[in-house]
Amino acid sequence: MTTHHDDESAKHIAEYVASLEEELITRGLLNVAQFEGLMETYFAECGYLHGARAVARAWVNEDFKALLLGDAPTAFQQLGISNYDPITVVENTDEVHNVVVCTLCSCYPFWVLGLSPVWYRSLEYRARVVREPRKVLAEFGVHIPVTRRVRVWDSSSDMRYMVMPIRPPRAQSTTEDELVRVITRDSLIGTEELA
Amino acid sequence: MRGPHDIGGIEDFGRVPRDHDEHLAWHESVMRMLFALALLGLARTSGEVRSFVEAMSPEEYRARGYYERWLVAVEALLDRARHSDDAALAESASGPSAAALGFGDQSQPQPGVSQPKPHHFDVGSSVTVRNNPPPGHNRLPMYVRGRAGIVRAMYPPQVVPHAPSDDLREPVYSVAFLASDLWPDAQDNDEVLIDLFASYLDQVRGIE
Repeated sequence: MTTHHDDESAKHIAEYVASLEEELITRGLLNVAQFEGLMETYFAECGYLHGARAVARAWVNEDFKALLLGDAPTAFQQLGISNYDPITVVENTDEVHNVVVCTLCSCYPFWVLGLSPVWYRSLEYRARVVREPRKVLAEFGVHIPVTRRVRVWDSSSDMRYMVMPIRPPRAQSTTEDELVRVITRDSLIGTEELA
Repeated sequence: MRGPHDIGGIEDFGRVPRDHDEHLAWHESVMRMLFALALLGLARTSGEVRSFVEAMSPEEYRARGYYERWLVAVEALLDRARHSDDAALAESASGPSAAALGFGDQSQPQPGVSQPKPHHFDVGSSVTVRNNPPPGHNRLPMYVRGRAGIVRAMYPPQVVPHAPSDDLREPVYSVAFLASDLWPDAQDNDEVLIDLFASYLDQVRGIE
């Protein structure tokens, strides 16, 4: 097996994986129902709304912001969001722009951000953002002035990272629920600035 | 020496692809199988799961997509299951909850297990990264080896990647490097922070 880009090989790999899964079930090694909740969380396209809710709360509540930046797992628990891995939230400011990567695989806080984007898992992003973050960010339309520090977080251990973006000027008087909809997935990874 | 997965800073790569996210049923199957097999104890640590993926040639690693790489680990673990006692495995299959995962497991080691005391580093202290991590699986990318950085935070102990089982743990340090100490064309003041196990680090002595 090498690549599977054409339809025929895509069908082939799907059939092959189905046969493996069938074998696990037959052997009694896999109970699909046991993984229902986990898979829903892991593959949630809108899973980043968990992260967005935490940021929106932090934007309107200074105490919650301090908790989110100082003890993120407890902050997520307060919102009823269960933790799978330890997590740290890092704050974007006028002085610092943060961006997250996992150069060695593609570690990602799926339980606060959902399914990781294809670009995050790409070899190009993993190889380049740690070396030339400003060029990679420019490809995403994010231009960081030289006076502002770029901080790249390579999540090489069990610790996961999420970015707390800057609250955009246009959203200074909106409610917490409305703020959730202002926040994007990519802004929580650091490849987008909210305008 | 350099694993196929250790690509941070390699210059062979072009623009980051911005393809539409594709979610196929078999992707879900691969992850479900991986979690199930790991939970059964067929993988001793998450480091062992990764080591199956990292044993590929660079050519194969780059040719495969993300889920096709994890599929290699599924195949290896399934192969182990085929040679194990199915009845005993099946019994544990209905045991632990999926939330336990086996990955990022934060439970504490069993008492009585003797562990060498790892080095301790104070937040703010200068450290250098070792060129040679302990034998076996590691989470020490080439781009920081031999470089000097500053400890910014200490995290609670985690299972060490080279451990034969999950009861050997060490503190993990968030270490900051000036980008200009890592890359020739880096912007002044930009930083790279990475999480490193205590056994990957040495204290910088002298200026204290």
